[in-house]
Amino acid sequence: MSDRVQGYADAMLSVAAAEGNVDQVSSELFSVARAVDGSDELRTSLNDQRIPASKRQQIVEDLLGGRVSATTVGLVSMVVGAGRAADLSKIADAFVHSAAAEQSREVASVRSAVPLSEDQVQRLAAAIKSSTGKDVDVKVTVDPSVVGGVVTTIGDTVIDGSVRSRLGKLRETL
Amino acid sequence: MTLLNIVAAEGPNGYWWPSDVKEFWWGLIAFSIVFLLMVWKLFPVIIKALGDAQSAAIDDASSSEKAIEAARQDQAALRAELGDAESAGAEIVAEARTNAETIRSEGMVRNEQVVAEMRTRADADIASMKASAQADLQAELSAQTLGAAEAVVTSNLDEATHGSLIEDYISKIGASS
Repeated sequence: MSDRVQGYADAMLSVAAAEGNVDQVSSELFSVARAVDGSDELRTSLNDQRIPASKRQQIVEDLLGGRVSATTVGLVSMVVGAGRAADLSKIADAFVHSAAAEQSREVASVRSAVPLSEDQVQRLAAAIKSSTGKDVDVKVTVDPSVVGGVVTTIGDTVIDGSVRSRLGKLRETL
Repeated sequence: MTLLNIVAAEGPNGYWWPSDVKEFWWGLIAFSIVFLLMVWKLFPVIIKALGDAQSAAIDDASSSEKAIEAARQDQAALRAELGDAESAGAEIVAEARTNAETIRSEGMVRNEQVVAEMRTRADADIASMKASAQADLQAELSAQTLGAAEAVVTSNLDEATHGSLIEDYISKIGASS
């Protein structure tokens, strides 16, 4: 990870820590990053240097206002205004990892076809800790391509329980 | 006498002897002198000329004979060469016929080999295309079967099924400690 990306992540972590909502900002940044990654139009608009920075920041505020915390809106707006929208997802991932590391935890990226309830998230975190011995910070993303079930990624480890992977195995068998 | 008179350019005088004997003797003397002069001066030249002519004629005859002989020898040599050329030509024709026959035979063998190779290649191509078509067909069938299976699975994934899948996943992770 480049020094610039980590620098931004550390700065944003400092701001969130000062605001006292690191966990919330961490989850929201993770979601925002996935949303930007999943939308070519949004990514292109935020990266287009021909659009004035204020306009791009306005796009961020219009999209995120009322859905996420003001801290998150401000941090994302800051990144976009600095012309680093192309690095937004990397900065957000760095933020999430740094925030988890501060609490001696690792990040478990979970992709599911449907949203997980809070209870399911906590039980999943407990199950992962029981299985791997690691304290994890679960970050959930809704991904319809999974079809059904869940895919969890912890560092280099992937635990794939998706219907998609089972259909893939069926394809290989056929 | 008549003839002598005519010669002496006189008229007849009744005698067979010319009336002017002096003219006869002086004429005879002149004639003799002229004759002697001719013999002394002219005749050698004439004889020499005749001799030269004869020698030249003899030389011409000799050279002609030599030329004839040389021509005969050339003719014999040409005849000999012609004979050699004819036999050489016959050899060349025979060799050409042999080479042509060899080329024809080799060409036939080569053609048969080419045809055999083409047949083999065609058989291999047919087998390959058949295998490829079978593989494509199988892949298509698999894809359609899988597509149908995905459609069925997706349509049957309701909220309860999703919940079951998640719970099952959490249980399995917890159990794998």
